Amino acid sequence: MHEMSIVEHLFGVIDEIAEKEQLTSIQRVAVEIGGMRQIVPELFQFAFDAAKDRTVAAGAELVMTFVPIQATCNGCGAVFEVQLHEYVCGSCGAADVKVTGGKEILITSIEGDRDDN
Amino acid sequence: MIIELRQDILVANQKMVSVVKERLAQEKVLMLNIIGSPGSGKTSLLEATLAGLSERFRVAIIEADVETKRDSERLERFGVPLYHINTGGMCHLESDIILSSLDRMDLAATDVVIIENVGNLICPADFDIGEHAKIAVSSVPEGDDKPSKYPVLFREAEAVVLNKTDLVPYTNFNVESFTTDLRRINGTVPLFELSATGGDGVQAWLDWLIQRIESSQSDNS
Repeated sequence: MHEMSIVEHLFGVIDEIAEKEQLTSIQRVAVEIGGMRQIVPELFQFAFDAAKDRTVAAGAELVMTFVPIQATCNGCGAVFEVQLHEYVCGSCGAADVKVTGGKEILITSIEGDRDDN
Repeated sequence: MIIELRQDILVANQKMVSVVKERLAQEKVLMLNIIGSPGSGKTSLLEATLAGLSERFRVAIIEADVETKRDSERLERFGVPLYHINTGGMCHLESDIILSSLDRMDLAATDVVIIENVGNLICPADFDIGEHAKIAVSSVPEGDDKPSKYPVLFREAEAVVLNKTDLVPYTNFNVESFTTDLRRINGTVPLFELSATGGDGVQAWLDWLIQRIESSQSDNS
């Protein structure tokens, strides 16, 4: 279950940003995950909830956005969305295609409060 | 307040990947990452590979397992530098562990580093460790549906090994169905059907590997 390891890395990033921005609490964390990452949303959510205890993000909500896998055909140049991991060009039928999107694993925003005192 | 970002969650791993890649490039070393299920025959493939490769190239091995040193012990007889990692429950390798293994190696006296990742088809496919190529190993007793069930590994692999082909007559494994599924996921990847312990098909794999090592050496020079 690599969701747990990725969430550990996510909290490394959250801690770093919270410290830099002097956040005292975080209400929302938004992430963007590509289809090539094989993330199971329920497992990612479970890992996030397990990891957030006793952190600055203890009460935070997780917002996940999933990005489809995109590929470009090396034969005819068509750009297409990969469905069900079928990496075959829909236009010309070529199997020689390059994956051009769907490997994202990003933190896109953090909503929190700063200690202004 | 809302802080807008677009930061890679795996930034810490990616930083170490850059260091690993730099280190390998400096010393002109090719690094391969072997990924497959527990029991697919990754260590047997390494045994067959070392038998055919270790006189021609200077090979070093990184062996990763959750527990035990059994795989490393099997490879000791080849007399190549062997670096053993127990991940202690972790289902994959990350780049910081690889870097600390490279730190202990004499890279100037190495042509190729072969990593046997933890037996798993999902997690290792998701963590870049700075390798030049991933090699996917699947085996007949696992069934012919592995490419369809674990597409990302087979998509990312630069070569696919189908091991234990000597067992095909004793199972319901359908080679054609395995190949058709694989081609939908990765239309151009070389497929090596072989028996690592019996020897059938091993030479074609070795020929590919030798050419891969030689072409990386000439690219670097």
